[in-house]
Amino acid sequence: MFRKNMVWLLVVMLVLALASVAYGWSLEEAAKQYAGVTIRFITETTPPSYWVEEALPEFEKVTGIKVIVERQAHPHLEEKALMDFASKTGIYDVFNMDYSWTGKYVKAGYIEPFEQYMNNPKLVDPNNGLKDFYPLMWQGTMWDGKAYGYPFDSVIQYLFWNKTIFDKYGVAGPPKTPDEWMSSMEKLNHPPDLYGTGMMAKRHLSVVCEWLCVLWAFKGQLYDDKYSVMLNDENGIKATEFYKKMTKFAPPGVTTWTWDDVSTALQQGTIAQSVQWDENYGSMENPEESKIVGQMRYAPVPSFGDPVSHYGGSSLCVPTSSKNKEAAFLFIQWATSQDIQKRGVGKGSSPTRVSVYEVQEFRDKFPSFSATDTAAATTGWRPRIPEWDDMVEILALEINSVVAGAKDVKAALDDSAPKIDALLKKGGYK
Amino acid sequence: MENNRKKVVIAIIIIGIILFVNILPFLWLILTSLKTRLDIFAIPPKFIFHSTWKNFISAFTKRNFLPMFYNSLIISACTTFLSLAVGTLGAYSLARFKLFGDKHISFWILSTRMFPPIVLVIPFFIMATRWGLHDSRLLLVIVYTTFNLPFVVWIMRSFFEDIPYDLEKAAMVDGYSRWDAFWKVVLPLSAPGLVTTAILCFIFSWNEFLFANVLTAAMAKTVPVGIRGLVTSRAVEWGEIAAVASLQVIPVLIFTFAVQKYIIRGLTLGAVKG
Amino acid sequence: MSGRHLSLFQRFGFWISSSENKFKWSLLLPTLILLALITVYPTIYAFNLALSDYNLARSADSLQGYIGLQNFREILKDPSFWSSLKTTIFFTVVVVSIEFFLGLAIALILQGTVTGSKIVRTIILLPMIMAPIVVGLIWTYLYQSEFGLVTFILRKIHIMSYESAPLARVGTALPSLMFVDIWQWTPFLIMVLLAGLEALPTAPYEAARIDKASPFLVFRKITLPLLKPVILIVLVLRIMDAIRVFDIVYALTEGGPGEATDVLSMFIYRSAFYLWGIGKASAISFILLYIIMIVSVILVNLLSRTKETV
Repeated sequence: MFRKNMVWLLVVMLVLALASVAYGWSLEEAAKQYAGVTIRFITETTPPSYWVEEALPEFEKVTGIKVIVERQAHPHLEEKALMDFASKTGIYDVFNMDYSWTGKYVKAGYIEPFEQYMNNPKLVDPNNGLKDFYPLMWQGTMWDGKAYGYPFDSVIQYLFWNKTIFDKYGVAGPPKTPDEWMSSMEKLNHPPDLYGTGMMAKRHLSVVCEWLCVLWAFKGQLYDDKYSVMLNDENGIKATEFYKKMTKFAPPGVTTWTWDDVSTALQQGTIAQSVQWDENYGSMENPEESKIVGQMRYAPVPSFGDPVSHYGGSSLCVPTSSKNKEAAFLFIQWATSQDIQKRGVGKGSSPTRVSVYEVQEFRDKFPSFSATDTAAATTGWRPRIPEWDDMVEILALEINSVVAGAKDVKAALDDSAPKIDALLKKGGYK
Repeated sequence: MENNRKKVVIAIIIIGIILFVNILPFLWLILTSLKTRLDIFAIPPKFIFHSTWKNFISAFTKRNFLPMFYNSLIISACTTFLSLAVGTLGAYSLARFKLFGDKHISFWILSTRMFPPIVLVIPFFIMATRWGLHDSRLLLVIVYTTFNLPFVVWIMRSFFEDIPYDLEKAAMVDGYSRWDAFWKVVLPLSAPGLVTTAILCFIFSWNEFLFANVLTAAMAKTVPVGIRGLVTSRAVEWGEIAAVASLQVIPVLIFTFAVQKYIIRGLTLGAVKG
Repeated sequence: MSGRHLSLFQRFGFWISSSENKFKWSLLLPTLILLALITVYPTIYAFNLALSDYNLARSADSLQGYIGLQNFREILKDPSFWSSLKTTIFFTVVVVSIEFFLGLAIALILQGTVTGSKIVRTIILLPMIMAPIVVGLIWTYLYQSEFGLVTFILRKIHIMSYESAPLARVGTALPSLMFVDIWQWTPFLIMVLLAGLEALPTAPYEAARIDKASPFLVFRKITLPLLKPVILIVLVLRIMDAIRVFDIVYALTEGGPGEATDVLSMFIYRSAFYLWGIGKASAISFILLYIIMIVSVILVNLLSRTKETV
C-alpha cells in the first residue's frame, strides 16, 4: 500500500515537474522572493473559505508564504475590512469581496486594479485558464471595464426543494410559476412539524436578497435603466404582497432568520423548500449536520417571466493598502485554481469554473451543479453602485416591517421609493 | 413566632425560584456544549442525549480560541494593573485631603464612568487606525482603562474612607513620612478592597464586547468577540458557542465566589456596603 | 541617612512627602491626566467628526469635510432617530421600574429571614457577572423560534402559539428583550436593597413597635426615607446602564423586527459600522451623551440633596 502511494506521488511530482519545465513557470519559482512573507486573508464564513483554509498547508509548503485566514459573517466581514482599508493600516492582503460592494470599494480607491498582476508573466500561471471562469462571475469582478479580482465563490439563489417531502405529499416539483409555488407551500404546510417554506426575512441584507428574487419573478424592478424608481409600481406591490403571504406557510420565526437559519431548517427537514444560496449544497449532503442527505433538489426561483436566479457571488481582491500585493496575488491565483476548486467540491466548496461544473461525477452527486448552467444565463443582479448599502438599510427595514406585520405593503413601498430616489439623485445618476 | 416561620418559608421558596431561574439558562448552556449538532437542533429540546467533547475540541483546534483566551487574559490583567496603579493613588488623595474643586473632580471622574461606550468607540477607532494601533493589545488596554480607572478611584476612595485617619496620624508621629504612612500602613489595611477592585476590573475587561469588536481584527481578538464570530453565514455554531462561553465564565465564577462579600459594594461604586 | 544609599523608590517617598500640597496633587494628577487623555481628548475628536460628513465608504474627494451642524439637523428630521429615542426611553423606564419594584418587594420579604451560603449568593450574582454578549447569545438560543427551550415551554403551556415566536413579532420582540435585562439585573437590585435594609438603624423600628404602627406605615415613614440614598444610587446606576444598552440588543435582534428594538446605541452602531457615516453617527452619539448628562445631573442632584437631609 505504502509503495503504491509512493509510486503515485512520484508520478505526480514528475508530471508537475514536467509541466513546470514545459511552461517555464512554477508556483515555487514565482514565490521565491516572497518566501517568509505573512499575508492575511479576510473572508466570509462560506464553504470555499473553509476549504481553502483546509488546503492551505499545501500552498504554504510550496511557497513559504504564510497565510492567516480570518473568517467573518457577511456584515461583520465589511466591518473589519473597510475599517482597515479606510485607515490604510494594511492588515489585510487578500479580501473576499461581495460583487455588490465593487462600486463602493473601487470608487473609494480601496481595491487594486488586477490587470497589472494578471499580465505579469513572473506571477501568472500560464495554465490558469481565465476563460474557464463563468462569464457571469467575471462580470462580477469588473468595474468600468477593468478587472479587480478572480471569481472565488459562486453564490446563486435557487429554490431549494426537498424532493422526498414533495413526493410524500404528492406535490409535483419544482414549481414553475409563483402561483404553483404558493399552492405548493400551502399543500406542504403541516405545522408545527413541517412548514411550506422557509424565509430569510430578518432585518438584514438577507430579506432584501430574497425579496428581490420575488420582485423579479413578478417582472418588477428596483429602478429602470434611467434610474427611475419602479419598486412601488403594480408589479412591486403584487410581489411584496406575495412575499408577505409566504409567511403564512413559513415557520413563525422567519422574521428573525437569515440564510444560516434557512440552512439549518432545510437540514432538519422542517421546511419543504426555501430560496437559498447554492453554496450551501454541501452542507445539505453532510450526514453530520443534515438529516436530509440525498433529498434536496435545486431549481430557479418560480417566475412569471424568465426564470430568476439571484447572483450574489464574490471574488478575491487585493486591497490598495496591502503591503504584500504580489504574494497576495499568488495566493488568489492558487485559491481559485482549477485543481483547488475541483478538490473542494467534495468538501462542499462552491466553484466558479465551468470545467468544474462539467465533471459528470459531480453532477451525479450534487444536483445543484447542473442547475448552475441555466442559472448562470438567467441570473438577476443587485445594484453594485456605492449607494447600495444605504438602499439595503432602507429596504431591509421596510420589507422586514411588512413581513413582521408592522406595516402595510403599499405604505412600506411608497415610503422606500422616495428615499431610494433621493439616494440616486445624490449619487448623481439622474 | 408562627408569622415569622411563615415568612421564612416564603423567603426560601422565593430564593429557590430565583436560583432556578438564574441557573437554568446556564445549565442549558452547559448541556448544549456537550451535544452534537443534530441534538442541538432537535425539536422538542433534548435533555437526555449522548454527550460529546467535540465542541470543546473543535473550538480550540478548528476555531483557534487559545490565542483569544491569551489575549483576553493579557489585556484584562494589564488594564487592571494600570488602573489600580494610577487610580489607587488618586483615590487616596481624594479620600484624605481637601482639594481645590474636589467635588467637581469627583463628579467628573464619575461621569466618565457613565460615558456610553458607543460614544467613545468611534473616535477611538478613527484615532487607532490613524496611529497604527488598530488590532493591538495595547489599544484595548488603554481603552479599557477609560472605564476601569474611574471605577478604581470611586471604589478605593470608599475603602480608604473606612480606614480611620488616626492610624496614619499615629504613624506619622512615629516618624513615618506621608508616603510611608500610605504605603506601609494604609495600603496593607485596604488589601481586601484592592483585591476586590482588581477582580472586578478584571471581570469588566474580560467580559467587554463592543470596544473589542470594533477595535480588533485578528491579532488582538478577545474571547467575547470570538464567541460572537461563531454566528457565521453558514450556520450558528451553537455547540461551540456554548462550549467557549462556559469556559469563558469559569474564571468569573471562581472570582465571584472568592470576593462575593464585596461584589455589591463594587457594583454600586462603593456606595452600598453589602 | 545619606541620600546615596536610598533606592529610587525611597527617594520618591521623601520627595513626595515633603509638603501636603505636593503630596495630594502628585497622587491625584496621574489619574486626572490619564483620564483627560483617554476620555476628554477622544470626546473632542468625536465632536469634530460630528461636524463633518466623514464617510468611510466614500472616496475622500467626494466629501466636503466640515459641514457645521448639518448632521444634527438631518438627525432631528429623521423619523428613525425619534423612533429609536422613544424605544430607548420606553425600554429604560419599563425595565428599571420592574427591576426596582420586584427587587424591593423581594428584598423586603427576604430581609432578616435567611442568610444564604456562599454558593447561593454566587448563583444569585451569576446573571450580572456573565458577559452581556454571552447573555445575549444564550437567550437568542433559548428564544430560537423552533428549537429554543423558552419558546418550547411557552408553547407547551399555551402562552405562545405555534404561529408566533418571541423575537419574531413586533409586539413581542421588545418585551422579550426587556425580559432578558430584567432577568440579568433584578438579582442585583435585590442584593443591593437587601444590603441597604440590613444596614438600617434599629432604633426607629423599636419606637414604631411600641407605638403599634401598621407595617405599611412603618415602611412608608421609616424604611423608605432611610433607604432613599441606596435607592437613588441603584436607580442612577441602572438607568445609566439601561440607556446605553447595546450588547444584548446586538446579540438578540440587531434592532429588528422592523424598528421594534432599535435602541439608540444600536442606531449609532448601525450608522457608523453598517453605513459608514462616521460623521452622522458621531453626531447621534453626542445627542445620546447630552441625554445621559442631563439625566445624570438631575439624578446626582437628587442624590446629594437627600444625603444632606439624611
